[in-house]
Amino acid sequence: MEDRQDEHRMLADSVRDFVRADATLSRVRALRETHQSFSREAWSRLADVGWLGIRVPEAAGGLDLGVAELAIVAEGLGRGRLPEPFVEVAGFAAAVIRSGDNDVLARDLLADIASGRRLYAVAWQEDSQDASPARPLCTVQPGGAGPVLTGRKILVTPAEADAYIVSAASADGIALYRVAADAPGLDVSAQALVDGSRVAELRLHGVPVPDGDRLASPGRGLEALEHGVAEAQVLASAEMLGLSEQLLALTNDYLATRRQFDRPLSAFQVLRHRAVNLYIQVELMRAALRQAVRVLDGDDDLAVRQQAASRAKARAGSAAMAVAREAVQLHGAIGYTEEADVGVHLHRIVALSAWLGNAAWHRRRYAALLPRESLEAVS
Amino acid sequence: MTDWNAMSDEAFRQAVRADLEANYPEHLRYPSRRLRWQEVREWYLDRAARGWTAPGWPQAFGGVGLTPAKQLIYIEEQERRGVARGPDQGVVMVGPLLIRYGTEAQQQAFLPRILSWEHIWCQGYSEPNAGSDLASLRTRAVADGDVYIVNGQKTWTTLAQDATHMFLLARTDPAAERKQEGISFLLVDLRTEGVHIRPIRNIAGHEEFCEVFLEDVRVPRENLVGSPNEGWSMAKALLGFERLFLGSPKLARQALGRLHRLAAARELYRDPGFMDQLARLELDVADLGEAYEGFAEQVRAGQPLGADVSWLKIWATETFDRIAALIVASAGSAAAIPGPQSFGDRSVDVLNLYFDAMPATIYGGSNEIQRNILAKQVLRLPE
Repeated sequence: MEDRQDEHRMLADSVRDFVRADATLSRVRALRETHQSFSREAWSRLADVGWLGIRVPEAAGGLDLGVAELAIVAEGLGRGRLPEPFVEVAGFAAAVIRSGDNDVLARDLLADIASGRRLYAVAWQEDSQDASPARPLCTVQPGGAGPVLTGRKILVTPAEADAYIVSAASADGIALYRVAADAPGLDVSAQALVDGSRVAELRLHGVPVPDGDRLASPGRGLEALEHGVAEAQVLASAEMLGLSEQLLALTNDYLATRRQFDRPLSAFQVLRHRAVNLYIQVELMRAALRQAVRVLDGDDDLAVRQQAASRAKARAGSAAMAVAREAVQLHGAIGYTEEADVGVHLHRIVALSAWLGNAAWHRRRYAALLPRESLEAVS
Repeated sequence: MTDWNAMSDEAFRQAVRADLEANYPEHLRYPSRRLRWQEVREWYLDRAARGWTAPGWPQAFGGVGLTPAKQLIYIEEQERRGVARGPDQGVVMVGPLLIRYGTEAQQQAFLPRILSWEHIWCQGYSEPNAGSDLASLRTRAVADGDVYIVNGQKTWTTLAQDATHMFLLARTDPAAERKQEGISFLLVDLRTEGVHIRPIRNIAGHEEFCEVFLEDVRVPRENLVGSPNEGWSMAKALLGFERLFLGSPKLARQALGRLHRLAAARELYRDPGFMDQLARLELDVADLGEAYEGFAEQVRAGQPLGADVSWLKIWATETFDRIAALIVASAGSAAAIPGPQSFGDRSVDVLNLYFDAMPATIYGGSNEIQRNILAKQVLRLPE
């Protein structure tokens, strides 16, 4: 336990050094002028330090570590506001791929992720109101030369992925397929989100999928997706924690240095108390995340994992949005400008809060999973 | 004699739990107000007979000598069972004070009588003009031969009407440069001439605290603890891991249970507006519990708590307050009815937690003072 704590501290330190050596905020701003949401060069640096393979088995070139380690990296990259889609690919896509039942394909795809050679994006969502992957309209049906996919997917991130992991319903359940970005019958249109990340809308007009491209069979596909979604929800919460920590630090720096009425702003008690309220929100996120990481690394039961994920994401979604909003206010007019760093973090928080279920969606799910009778007993 | 510390944590927890379930009276569980000494006397005398008045004191002084980890388990199990708090200032404050700073004569005179409950102590800190700004206290103690003559007024003194003794902070050197200097710790027998105790009725209609007037009260000089004029730093040094309990999730959990009872009775689980508020509060309490565990781990490891534990007190008490407010809001017109009332086959007291939540954000350092502490010592914001 002590050893792991030391290892975790060292990992957090190296993430901090990594982002410090990278002009992340100016890269985020420069990328906005392009049609790219991240840099392949920075992506291969993430591969070089091994973090893309944290959840990849050693046989596929990864480190085979836990959600705890992935969350530490996600938090640190969030704090530095690295634009690369770490949680989306090394977290979400890797978790879905690992949970499938085509070991040969999974090993290839995971090796691609760990080496940074290719990026994969999970294409599961069809309705922006629903964060459950249980009801795809996209279908897999027999065609003349084998099965084909037909349907539409939205908010697939990152749009620039080399291939997508597409969920599709068949008579026997939901299956998952690898679909290359240049597959025949696939139309991809990309759109930039508020944080500069890019999401794709996929239109699948009878895209042929050979058996070898089936990552999860109909009996396994939904469970693989659900496991991946839960893990991604926790990792998005970790990134939001890092973003919020940085917003708190920026805000405290500003309050301590900006002078009005011949005093630093931090001399005003009303502002000191508001800064403390932000600090409390950050500590609550940290507590919720710690619990969720422990569950994901220790319990295989899907319902338990989903409840822990909802708890972390409900907290992170609402707390990070509150911290971001208040950070702008405490910066005064400068906080509303494009040049202020708070906005760069706020944009990412808006995107991550909305991704994979917002706070209200997760509160609904959390409440639905509560055991009510046992709680009434202690009144 | 059982070596409790040698037991595994889990075995100790089970032993405590079994004992409380077998012996703690059902009708005293989760009391709806702070109980008086006469109401809890039998239970605590029974504890005393078994040598369990002071689980945390060293065995050499008549305590059980539990490690911090085991003390924490003991307290958690009492919370779980809903054990009523006794007039515990002698155990929690005076004992540790005398063990650390008292003379041998003071230890022999007072510690056994704390253990037997022959002496019941109350705390004389706050004054009408010294609340959050406690160091500005004005109660005076003037040396005169072999006594101190004490004049002043203490207030918000919890259960002074049941106490036999008070430990108080009094100003012994009014000329001291800083207001924190020149304050001493005195032990006062409340039967001494010149002491007048007047209970204060609170907003819920109960008499849990008192005003204590001190008029030319003659206190033997041997009742001064430690060095004269060092009372403030001693009082600060006494703040140990007790601060953790101000942030305990117990009150919020109890209130959440009450809310569920009302929700079940009024079929509020079908109301999506209610459900969103409920889910928020459930998450607030769950995250409070996780954060509490993080600080409890520090205590178990024997590490001192930092100033950051103040956020736990803020969150615990404000969450308790929000839940209590939702209980009232969920009771409809029945919210105005005091005391337990029937909702179908369930009995629910709608208002008592609403009132209980109010002092929680004020006592133990008001939440505004806690925010000041965090801003200065944790966020290190320049003033």
